[in-house]
Amino acid sequence: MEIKILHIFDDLMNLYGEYANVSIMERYLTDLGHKVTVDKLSLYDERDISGYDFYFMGSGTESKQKVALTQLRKHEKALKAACEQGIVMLFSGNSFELLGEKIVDADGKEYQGLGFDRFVSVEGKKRIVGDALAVFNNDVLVGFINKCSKTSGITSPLFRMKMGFGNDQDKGDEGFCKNNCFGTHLTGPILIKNPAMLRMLAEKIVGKVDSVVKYEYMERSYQTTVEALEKRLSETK
Amino acid sequence: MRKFLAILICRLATFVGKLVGKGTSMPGKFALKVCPDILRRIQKPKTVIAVTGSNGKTSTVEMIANVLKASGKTVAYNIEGSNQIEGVTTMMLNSCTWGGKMKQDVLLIESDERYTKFTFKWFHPSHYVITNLYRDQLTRNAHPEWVFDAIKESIFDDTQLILNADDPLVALFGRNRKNVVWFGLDHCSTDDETFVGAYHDFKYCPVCRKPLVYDYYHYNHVGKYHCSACDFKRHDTDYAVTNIDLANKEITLSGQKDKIQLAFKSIYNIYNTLVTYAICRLIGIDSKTVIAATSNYTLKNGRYIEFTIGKHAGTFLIAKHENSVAYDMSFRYAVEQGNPCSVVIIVDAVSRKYFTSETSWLWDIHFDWLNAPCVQKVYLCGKYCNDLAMRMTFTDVPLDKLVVSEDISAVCEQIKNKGDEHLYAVTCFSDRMKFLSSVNVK
Repeated sequence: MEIKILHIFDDLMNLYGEYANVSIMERYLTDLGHKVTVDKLSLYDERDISGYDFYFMGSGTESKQKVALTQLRKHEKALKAACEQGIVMLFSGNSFELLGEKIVDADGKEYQGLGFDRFVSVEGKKRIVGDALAVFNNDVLVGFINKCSKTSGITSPLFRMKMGFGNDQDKGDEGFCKNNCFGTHLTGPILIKNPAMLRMLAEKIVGKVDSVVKYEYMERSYQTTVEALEKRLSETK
Repeated sequence: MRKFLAILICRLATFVGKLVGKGTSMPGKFALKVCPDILRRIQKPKTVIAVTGSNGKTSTVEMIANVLKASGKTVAYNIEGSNQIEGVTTMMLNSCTWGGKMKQDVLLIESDERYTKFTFKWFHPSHYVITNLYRDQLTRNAHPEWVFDAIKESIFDDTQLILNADDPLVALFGRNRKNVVWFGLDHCSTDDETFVGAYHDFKYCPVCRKPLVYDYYHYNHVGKYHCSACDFKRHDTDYAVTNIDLANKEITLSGQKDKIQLAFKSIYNIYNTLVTYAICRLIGIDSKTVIAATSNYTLKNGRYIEFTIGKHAGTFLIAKHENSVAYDMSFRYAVEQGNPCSVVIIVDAVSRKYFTSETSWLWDIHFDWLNAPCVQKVYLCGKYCNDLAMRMTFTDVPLDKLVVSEDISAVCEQIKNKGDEHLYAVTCFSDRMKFLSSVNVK
């Protein structure tokens, strides 16, 4: 198949090495035998962004997130249509808060979101950071939470947190999903850290993957981190 | 009375701490419990110099202290690792009289960038240096703008700011402020015309978020810039490096065309030397004394160590984990020497101070520096060697140059028995001894 990937605002929203999510998806789908092209949507580019098979956006500072919101609104129609069609999308870190009803910053100023769903994110002056273990289908995912917001009103979360802060409470539900649009506060190269999540998203893009394409270093580093976090969890219980 | 009690407790705790080999922050912590405003009550010298920023704090403070001593001034200053309010308190209470008076000519403080506001709530420095701000320990520092906001709370009108004009985020502290001294590098032979790095935090202006244009880069986002839409641009400098002569290990400084010899020709050392020069000249030390004390100065803080292993000579370069720019600079230094070499990278414990298994920061490092003909092997070691290896598969470094192993001493054994190329070992404080214990330190 020919697969088209769009990396949204890679030049602004790329705080924790999140570009690597696009790099690994490109490599994985290519190794599975597909012809993959990756386009980048720069912040002030207002061209029509319909017609992609996978959309990705990463996290940014609180101030950059608000700039991204203003510009993303120009693509609201295309993104909403893609979501309705079941196109695969991943928003990591605070970029997924842009899809909600509104964001309230630490000074109380409100920013209207894109309204994919009716959730609200409220930022504070305290940072919420920590390693994370999340339960997702039958898998345990690893990652890191780095945010200053609490998000409430999500009726269809993505994970249950086993370790770390969820949308609005410790070890609570985390993330958001609607059709094949996924949002998570996990930051960084989450698809490299989690081979299972890479495969799940790839299957949603190209259909069932029977191939044995695997990356040894990636599998082993996942094991290292799972073991480190499980050990930490048992020690702090 | 409380003041005296706090000083007494601090000194007793320091004495006991030395016996049991404990750190330098606990005595200050006890003292602050007894007398929370002790830092206000202590009588301080007229000249109080503070240094904060992501990188270069410890080295710069060491170099400034060295010049101050050479000029005949007395100075009280803190050592690495005790740069939060507790450590600063320990240092001040151990340096003052029983009556609470600091008799030194200068109080010199390295201050942790995120906690500096707690220290300077009680007194304000007369001179405040901010070196640079970039992605550093994001697992606790969030991001550079978050740190910017924290530092901002520690800056008051009665302080003379000394700012890096080349760093757009640091420069923001001086925007619309009169009392600022600017330092920076002129266009130098080592500059890049295009951005080199895995990420660029300043594609957009930090003031208006329209495209920021760079004329050139010294490293990462540090260089000469101006906004394409608003009036934000690199400020003219009061103290500048006007020329870098790498072959002769010499830099030229503005003003009297002073020349300083470098013991170590890295861009960090150039900035640290420039800041030292600027601050010392600013407080009235003559240029001859500054030049004599900084020329060929070798840092004593264990960030650059020479060693041998088997037939290899080696250089240990400290690079903080979770700080991609520090790694970039170490790699750049290694390949710029041009001799055949191999590079050892160790990521075993991400931090020595707190738990984390977070490795996203590896993706911010520009490992492509190592894609150079002079690099023979790249040894990836420690618990997170597979994370390192996975990251390397997304670079142009030929994979047959990689040696991947969790076992650091086994890798050292392998190196010992083979080859004679120069070795560069790059890692953090947390993993330093795991390597240095297997080699002969000079």
